[in-house]
Amino acid sequence: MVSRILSARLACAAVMAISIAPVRPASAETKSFVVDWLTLAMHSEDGDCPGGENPGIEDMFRGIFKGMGYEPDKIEELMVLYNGGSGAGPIPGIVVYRGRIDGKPVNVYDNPTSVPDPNIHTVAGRYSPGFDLDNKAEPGSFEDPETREKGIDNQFYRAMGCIHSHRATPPHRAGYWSYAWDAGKSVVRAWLITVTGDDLSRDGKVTVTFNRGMSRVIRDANSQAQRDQTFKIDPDPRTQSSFRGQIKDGVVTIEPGELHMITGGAYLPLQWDMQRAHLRLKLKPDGSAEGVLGGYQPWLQLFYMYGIGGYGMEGMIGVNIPGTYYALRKLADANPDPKTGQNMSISAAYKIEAVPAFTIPPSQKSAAAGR
Amino acid sequence: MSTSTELATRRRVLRGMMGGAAVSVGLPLLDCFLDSTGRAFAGGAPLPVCFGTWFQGLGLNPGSWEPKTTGAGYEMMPHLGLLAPLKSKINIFSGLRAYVSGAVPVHVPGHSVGLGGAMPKPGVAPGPSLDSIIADTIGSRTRFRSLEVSCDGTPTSYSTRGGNARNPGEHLPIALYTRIFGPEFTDPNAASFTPDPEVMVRKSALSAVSDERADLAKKLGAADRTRLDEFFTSLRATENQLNLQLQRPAPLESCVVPRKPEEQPTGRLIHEALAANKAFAALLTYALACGQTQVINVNFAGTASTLRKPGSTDVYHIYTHEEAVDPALGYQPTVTWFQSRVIEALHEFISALDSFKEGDGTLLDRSLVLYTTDHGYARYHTAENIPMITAGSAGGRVKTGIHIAAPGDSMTRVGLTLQQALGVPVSSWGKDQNATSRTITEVLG
Repeated sequence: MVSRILSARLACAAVMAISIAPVRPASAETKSFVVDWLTLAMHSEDGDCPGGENPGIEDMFRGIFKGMGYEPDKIEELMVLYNGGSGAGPIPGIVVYRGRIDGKPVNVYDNPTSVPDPNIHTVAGRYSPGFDLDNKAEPGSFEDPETREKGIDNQFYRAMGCIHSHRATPPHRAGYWSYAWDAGKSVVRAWLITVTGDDLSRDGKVTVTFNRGMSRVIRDANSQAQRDQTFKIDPDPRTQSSFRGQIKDGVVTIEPGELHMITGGAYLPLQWDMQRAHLRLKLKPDGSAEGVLGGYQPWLQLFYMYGIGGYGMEGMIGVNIPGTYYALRKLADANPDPKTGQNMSISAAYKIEAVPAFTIPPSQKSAAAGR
Repeated sequence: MSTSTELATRRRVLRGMMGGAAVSVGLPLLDCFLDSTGRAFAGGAPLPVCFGTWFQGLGLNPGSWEPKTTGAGYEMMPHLGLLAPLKSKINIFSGLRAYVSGAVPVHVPGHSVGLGGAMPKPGVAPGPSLDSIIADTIGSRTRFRSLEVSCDGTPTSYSTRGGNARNPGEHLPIALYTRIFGPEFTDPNAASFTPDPEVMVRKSALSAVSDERADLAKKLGAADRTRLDEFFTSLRATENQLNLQLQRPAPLESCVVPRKPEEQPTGRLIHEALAANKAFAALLTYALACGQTQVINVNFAGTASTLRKPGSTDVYHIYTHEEAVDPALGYQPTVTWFQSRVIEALHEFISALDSFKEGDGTLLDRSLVLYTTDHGYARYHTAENIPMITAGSAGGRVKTGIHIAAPGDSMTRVGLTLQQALGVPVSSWGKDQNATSRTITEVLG
């Protein structure tokens, strides 16, 4: 029986080698990973929100109702109906349609500027994981707590990091993002990272590719991604990015470039179009990898993630959606619109945790179809 | 068959007619009904087993509750420390999960898979639930097929006989008291037994309706006859229940009518839920001990629990999303505080059953209570490593004091095991990825 299993495994390995062979040089070594966790990189500390943390959901709703002109007694009456988010009644309708255009109620998630800027509190702390994307160590920019690099650009964290559900201090993952990514793992296709080089145990040049799998992550009994799964690579070019890079002391970095990905599913950005993408990925002795991905993203792509969440995002996660729209717009730091001067991209950084996987490239036929 | 065995047979009744209604009168109370220990009927038949579920939403922190070792002799983790004195009567099942079949696993896996055997399909809840299946085997000859209660101020229940209709939970202890021990309650240990005339009238009316059924059926087409049969099937269930109320119940040594509970506020504050749980624990204990039901279901706090700390601006569920992990503690402090209150409540409930002495044992000894929840790690709302705990041995049908680690297995393995332990003739349970035919043999007595 053992030999039969062994034979089967060898056969599988042979098929795998044949499948992988066309995409790597003859002498290359390749390591592939499936992303187990991708969460907003942050470093919350006491006192890093000068205006205080943003109010929790119930106080946020009280503030919304007050701003709409409700009397205190009526507000408390509504809050009883809200009942921790489980209540029915008029609250969702009031909250969702609190926007006003020409005096008429409109959906505030579709029209975030239909209410005044609530000026949500934002982060002014010292630390954030990430990268100095613009090579300018501006005053007020973050310092990476691990590399000690200054001038770190992570305005996305700055915008969101004073919301209760988004706060975390490493090694703990960002609250909302860990929930969203974990939920997403059950429904969205896997993110794959492949590192190819002559010898990944030595310093040298590498090629790094980001791909999407054709299937979802399978979890182990501890809810983590199962190691050594095999994924067919999605031929859709919108999910493929390749970078030149290097490995030094077991840490992979890339030359800045464009990273594209489609996530889909609940709670996560549908589309990722990251410019000046940076990566710092440590290959660990146990075969896993972890690090930080950063770059500039269209802030509207990030806003849509929250906006699509709608009432649930406000009533369960405590994200003031129009407040988020205004904060992202104000803190955007790249790609100014030629006409308005408004920056259309925002710096962001994400913590990546990945486990080893096998990848099968798309066939030439499906790759052609993907194009 | 010995005389005592004959006397112990619940079906041994005197039958007659009264006012046109069939009347069954049981034998008078005799000391020889029970054996010398009081743990079995004199003929050797065991006392009836009881089954219960005790549910709370929002899981337990991973790593805080799973014993470090498996098998017997495990050490109770500090988070479950309150349960340590009951360890010999408790089994802990770790590593179990719900396969969510590509769905976002928010708030449904635990009760859908653990109690229902499957994830819901669009618009259709799984079912019948575990308690209903078991009630069909052990609870069909009690006044209440099952009793459901809810401690969080809502009628939430995860007990269903199938489809989307759930058996609603009673959320007021005083209402449950009236329901159980009101005018229709028959003390199984009372010296005299008089059939309730009101019940006889209802029974008589139903019998009369039944008599006319055959005549009506002759005049109907096939489809209508089928529908009529379905109608009478449910009617017969009602008749059976009424029949039971016309029979003298078997005596149950530990049955005492409890004191009427005081009216108390029921709401969303955690201390109100704890008080309701305590009151329900007392009432359900009496209900089981007095043979009014053999199946109970307790919802301490539903999925996405809205229980609240006094003075808090947010509810338990919102804390799981909003609260940051304390870097020094390594967990969400308020969420963990709620979990500790949940364990207090579970301890209170199990202890109530265990404090009810019956001969050499306790009511818990002939019971089997399943604790479970909706998620493994509430912060992520995961469907893996969902805690399951059983208390009681169902009269020796389940071995206790054991930690079973079954990483990656579906929660349905526990459900299948409990069904088999309680005599349900089933070899597999669950649907799709959660289907299993693997019993947890280590705990079967």
